[in-house]
Amino acid sequence: MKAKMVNSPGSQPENLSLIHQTRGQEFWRTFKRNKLALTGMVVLGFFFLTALTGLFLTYGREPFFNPRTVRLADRLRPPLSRPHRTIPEENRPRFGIYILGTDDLGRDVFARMLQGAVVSLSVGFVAVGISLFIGMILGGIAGYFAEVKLLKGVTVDDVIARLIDIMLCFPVFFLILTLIAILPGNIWMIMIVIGITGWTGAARFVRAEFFTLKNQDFVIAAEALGIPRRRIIFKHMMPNALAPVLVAAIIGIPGAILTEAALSFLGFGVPPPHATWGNILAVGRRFIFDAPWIIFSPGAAILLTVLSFNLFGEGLREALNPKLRIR
Amino acid sequence: MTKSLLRVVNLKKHFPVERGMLSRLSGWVKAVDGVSFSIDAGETLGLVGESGCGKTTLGRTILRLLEPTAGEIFFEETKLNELSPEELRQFRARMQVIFQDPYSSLNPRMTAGSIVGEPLAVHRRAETKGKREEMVGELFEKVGLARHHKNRYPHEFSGGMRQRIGIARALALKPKFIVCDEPVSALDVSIQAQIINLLQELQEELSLAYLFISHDLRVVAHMSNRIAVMYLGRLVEVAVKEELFQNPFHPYTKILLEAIPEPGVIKKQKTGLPGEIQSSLNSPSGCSFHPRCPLAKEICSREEEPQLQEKEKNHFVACHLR
Repeated sequence: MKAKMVNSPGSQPENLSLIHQTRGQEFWRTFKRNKLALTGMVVLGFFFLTALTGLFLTYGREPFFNPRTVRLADRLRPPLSRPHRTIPEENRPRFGIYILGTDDLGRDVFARMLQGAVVSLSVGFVAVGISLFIGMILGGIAGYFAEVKLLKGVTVDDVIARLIDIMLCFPVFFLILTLIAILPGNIWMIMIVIGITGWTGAARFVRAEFFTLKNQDFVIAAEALGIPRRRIIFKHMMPNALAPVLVAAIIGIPGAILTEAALSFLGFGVPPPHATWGNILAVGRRFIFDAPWIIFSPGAAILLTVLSFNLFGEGLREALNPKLRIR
Repeated sequence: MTKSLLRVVNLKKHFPVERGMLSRLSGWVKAVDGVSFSIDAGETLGLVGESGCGKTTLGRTILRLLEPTAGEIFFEETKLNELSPEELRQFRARMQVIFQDPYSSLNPRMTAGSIVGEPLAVHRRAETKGKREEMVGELFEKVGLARHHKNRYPHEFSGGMRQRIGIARALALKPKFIVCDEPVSALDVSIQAQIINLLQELQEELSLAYLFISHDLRVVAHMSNRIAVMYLGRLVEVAVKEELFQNPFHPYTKILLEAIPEPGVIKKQKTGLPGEIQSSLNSPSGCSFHPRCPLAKEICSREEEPQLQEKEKNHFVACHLR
């Protein structure tokens, strides 16, 4: 691979300015070279579409695919099998076939998977969104106002850095279990709990970025120009701190998805009859030899989503990091 | 007596040094330690000294980008030390800074046009957006850039062109005084000449005053009316350029001048200073230059730090022996 470093000042040829290329184009050019990341992105796109169709086709009072219909005559049917003749017309699956089989109550695994996709992806995004919000605010404050003394020489940064250390000491999963046991169990509560226990990563990234940015010449120039502090923070510093945070967020999403799946698997997650990939797994565990298809679908879905998120995030990191950038 | 544009009186900037887990104060780095000088309107004062002697810190403290530990800064008879944060923010329009590294001095996520236009917007220098765009265009032309460069991002420019954007940004608010913090040190020699010429043209056109910081004596000699030599946080000699070059008093200045390389001349005797610049953390007793001074006598280490004194007209030296 011919990689040319162009970071040292003065090594850039004068005519470089003739190549007019926006950051977006340059980013995309680097990103698409990473075939694994590209595959990850395509798979993620597929799961997004699935979740979106899931949202339209499995929710509501009379959904197109009904994940709640119980058919006791059709328990543990394998994939692609036809319904029993005693099943009334209104309870038969769409297209007259169980695409991914049925579970121990005769519920359509395909319909449940669709519904679960919505839960998994929205938990991933909302939880990470919450932790990003908290992390960016706390990390930003710690980085920008680091030297501001509170009392007895304790600085703002000391307080927030110790808070992060304390958060990191907790075994997060058990903290979440405890909180879920106390709080009412619904999907929003789970998103919030995963969110407020996972902000340390983002906070540390933003804090570190702000430390370096604060002493960059362009931030000092902005101060010298009399640009208000709020504008310096949000216009000059935040956008430049965002790239590594974005990558951390993308890689954080599968973590949240896995946590939700684990909670649902243990029975602490989204309460039944609502389907999630985790509780489909939990049901399937009891019939692992009689009906292996029940655990196969959610298992494969979780594996693929988490893997694609990680590959995609890795590709993003590479494309956003100017040190690795190849022209 | 004419009123000077900028007057600095006994300016000090000390940085605390903290050690250990409990951040105990273990000493002070005296980056700027009692500096006094003045700059007239339209004049260039060159500031030379080796790396780490406090040149950049001095420049930033004058602009109150760093809070001075002690001392006074007067700008057009306004005492900068006493301005409230909001007053200072408004006042900043009158004095600007140009940086050394053209790569880190521009926000990589803003277009060249918005970098130059932002101060105009923040200080409401243009009534309409169209007028602001027009002003940005004029500034671009003034520093030798084309108007269509406005929509490009800093990474699309070369070092010299980036430095021009930095200059346009500094000029946007029509300042009277600019701290040029090694503005050409990071550039190729051919580009250095272009930027120096640009700075001189602008000075003539806009009657700007410069504090021109550099470690390159030739560049400083070319740019400046007067030159100040700095060593370890203090000014050791201040004089008119010609006077300083022909008749240097301070031994440090002499050594600096002898060390200027000349093309085609092979110097028989290697000049230079023995040893490293002292840490300003524990500066030596007496004259801070005495451990490296070839002429040092007993008085130099025993007596107090020598003060800047006018030995000849407009020629100030801080040395016990002169």
